Amino acid sequence: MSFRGGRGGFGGRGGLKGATWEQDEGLEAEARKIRQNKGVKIGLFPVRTPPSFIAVEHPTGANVKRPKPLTVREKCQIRHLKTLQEQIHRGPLYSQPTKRNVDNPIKIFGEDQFNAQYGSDKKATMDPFTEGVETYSDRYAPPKNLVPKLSGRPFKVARSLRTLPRKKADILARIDAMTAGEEDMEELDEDEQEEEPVDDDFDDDELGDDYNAEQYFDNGDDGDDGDAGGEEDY
Amino acid sequence: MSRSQNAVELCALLVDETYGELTSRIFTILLRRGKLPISEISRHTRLGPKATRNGLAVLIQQNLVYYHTGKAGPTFYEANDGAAYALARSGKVIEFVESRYGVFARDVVQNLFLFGHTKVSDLAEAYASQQKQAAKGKSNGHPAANGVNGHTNGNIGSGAHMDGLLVELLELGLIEPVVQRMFRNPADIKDELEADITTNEIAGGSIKGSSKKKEQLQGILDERLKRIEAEDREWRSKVLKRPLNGVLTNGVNGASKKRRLSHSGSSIGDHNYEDDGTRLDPNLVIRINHEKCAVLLRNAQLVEAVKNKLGDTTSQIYAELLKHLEKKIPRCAHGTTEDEYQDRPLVSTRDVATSLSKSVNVSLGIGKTIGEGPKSGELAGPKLGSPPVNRKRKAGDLEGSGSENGDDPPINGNGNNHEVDQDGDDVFADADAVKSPKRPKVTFQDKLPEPEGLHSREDRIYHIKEHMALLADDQYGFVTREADGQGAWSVNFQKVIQKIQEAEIDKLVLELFGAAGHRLVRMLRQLGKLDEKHLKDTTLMKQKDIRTKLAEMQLSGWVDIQEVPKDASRGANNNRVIFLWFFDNERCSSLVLDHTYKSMSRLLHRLNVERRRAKSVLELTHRSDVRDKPPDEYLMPAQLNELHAFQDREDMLLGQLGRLDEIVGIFKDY
Repeated sequence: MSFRGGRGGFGGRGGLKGATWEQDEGLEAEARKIRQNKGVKIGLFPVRTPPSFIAVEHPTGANVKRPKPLTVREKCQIRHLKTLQEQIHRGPLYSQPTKRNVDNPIKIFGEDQFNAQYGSDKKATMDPFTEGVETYSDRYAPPKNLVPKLSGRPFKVARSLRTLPRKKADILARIDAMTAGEEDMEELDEDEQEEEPVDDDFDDDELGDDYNAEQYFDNGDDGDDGDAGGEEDY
Repeated sequence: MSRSQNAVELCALLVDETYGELTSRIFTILLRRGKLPISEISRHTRLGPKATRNGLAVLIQQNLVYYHTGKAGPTFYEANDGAAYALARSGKVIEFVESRYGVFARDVVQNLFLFGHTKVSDLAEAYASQQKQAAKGKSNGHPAANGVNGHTNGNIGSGAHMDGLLVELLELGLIEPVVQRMFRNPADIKDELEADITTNEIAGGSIKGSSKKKEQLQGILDERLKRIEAEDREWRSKVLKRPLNGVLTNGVNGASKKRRLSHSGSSIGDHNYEDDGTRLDPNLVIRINHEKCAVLLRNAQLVEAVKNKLGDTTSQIYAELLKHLEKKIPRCAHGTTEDEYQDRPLVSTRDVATSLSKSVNVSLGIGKTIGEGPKSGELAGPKLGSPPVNRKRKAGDLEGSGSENGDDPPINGNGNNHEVDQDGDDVFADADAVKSPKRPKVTFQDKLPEPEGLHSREDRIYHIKEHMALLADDQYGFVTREADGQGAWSVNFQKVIQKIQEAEIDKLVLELFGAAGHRLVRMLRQLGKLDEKHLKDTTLMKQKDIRTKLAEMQLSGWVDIQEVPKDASRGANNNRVIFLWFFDNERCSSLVLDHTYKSMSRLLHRLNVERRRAKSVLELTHRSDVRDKPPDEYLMPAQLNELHAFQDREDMLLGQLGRLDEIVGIFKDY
């Protein structure tokens, strides 16, 4: 309960007006120092440093603690993870990002805003100077499927997706007939193929056909991706 | 179970990282909103019906969503966040399989990860086509950029080999046959069973308020669940086409099995999966069992902990012991209930000795006093365990009695009653808890390793027993002695993991709050709730220091304060209130877990930023005409530098992700 100093305000020695706690002298000195030289960078978050260290502001550069180097086993794990991801990405199950504004993301407050970031019409947001011109090497670009493809073997669609409204009665009958754990893919594959979209640039029933045009250009002499697509991915 | 915001974000990012944007959007909505029918998913994501359907198909294929169709009405989908998190572990699982079963097994498991659940025949087909590609002289999938081994193994591949391997993996439990039940949320199944039992079997309908009925219900429920599980594991009878002389007829302990196990410990890649007549039903649908994967990874982590704490040789023996146990442990939570604890898996010293690789020199790594050469066990025995002269011995004697390891001195098989060193140091001392024990006059460095074959079998067993004693008497209690006189051991995983959790929290506290904070936390943990005055006396610190430190820790949620008013006028007068400081392990665990999730998702965000920065060169490497060639063939030096810089960063980020995943494992899954 110490009301030291008559007038409060900044810079006064008396501390804050009406403060019921004891002023920390050290803190005040620090504040004065900061006010005096404006160049001092004040981090957004206070940085806790171990007492043995000299106080540093923001842990940058040499002050950041380096993690210990990766062990052989960890490197191996990383390699496998990367390989697996690469294969999945090349496979038909992967869907490419369609997000706009990746470099300057805006704050998202609701579902509508969230959804609005995606799936914009590509042609509307295209930059005509960089993306508009097709180049020869474009044909080597990896296929951009916006929707996972399920028609190629050996990917199977689980049974539940047959429980769509349009076929409900039929499906319910089938489910009853089915034994547990079995999946019948053929019928579903048919379903899938019925619904193949028309708007997909690279849409073929078989992914392998994507690159057939290439054989024309290379006189069939291509050692790398003659039957690219799904088959290559394992 | 409610998930934290950070957990949701992480799962969404992991799915995005692996399966792309569309899938991730659907998954996020399911995570945020719970169970939804397909029309609702469409509505919330603004996706067309086809996109939704295909996205869901991918998610179901990879078991990332559960689904269930009620008797009437639409199918509901629900996110399976466990499976989503497991995506981060896939690299570890593949590495584990490779190190134990070789390259062929690695490829098979990788394909399984790629396909989700799949038929055995399809797996074989995929492999065959891979072989064909390899024969055509192409690198098959492994980008040679990483390529230590662009694995073109021409010598393996026919279906028979694969069947042998798959049977082995099925026996281990790493892969499991898929049944319909697995597409439903286990909690749902349990609820349904419960409702069923309540209406049909328990008279009187309502069970509210009657504890007897509740018990009855629980009993029936457990029994039914167990039965269902047992049915699911009945893959042997269903899948086997021709069990001629193979593994199956011999069961787990068959001769061929043992032989394989015995030499699978040390070396990689020398496995020949000879055609032993085993055939799996080609229509069997299998998938990776993530729960079992967690068990295996937990073992790896425990072995690592032993290695840090007790040394290399001991850890190898511990690994062998865990290998014996792992088949009987279907999931990490196994052994928590009373029943499961009663028939917990045991392993005898002799079994470990038999299967332990001969290349492990078991006489190493046990402390010996200086000047004592390696002798046979009979002579070394009594001296070996003599209490080390320790500068802190007195403190240890005083406080050690209060700590948990009040076990009797172990008696080894030869009848030498000796005392193995206990970690009875000052329990609040900082350093010794994390570092391996170093004591004067005892050296863990053996002068010269003895040539192989010098040890008789008895010596070997004796040494292994010594290692076991070391493990059992450690502060962590890595193994527990069973009282059946046969030298049997079991592992109380929950206890060990809890100890590791504590050590991990300690490490973090030490890092964040320095030695003083660390000391306070350890004190609070050991002694429970404490008044500030008591704390001052016990910690021998200044009250002012204590107060600032505790306030600092309270602000970030590590310790907290409890008010106990002495009279009815609570809060009005501070003198009439006792403030007790306490430290709660559970609470800190969830704190650590949440922070870890957050850092993991930050790492993934960062990885995306790095990818965008290196976009120009990455686009080149992804071109379909060059993606399987080593990048130094087609990139210019500057580009190559850029690529390498990116790859280094990627490795660093992913490596850190893996390390954080270990923390998540310790605090949640294991």
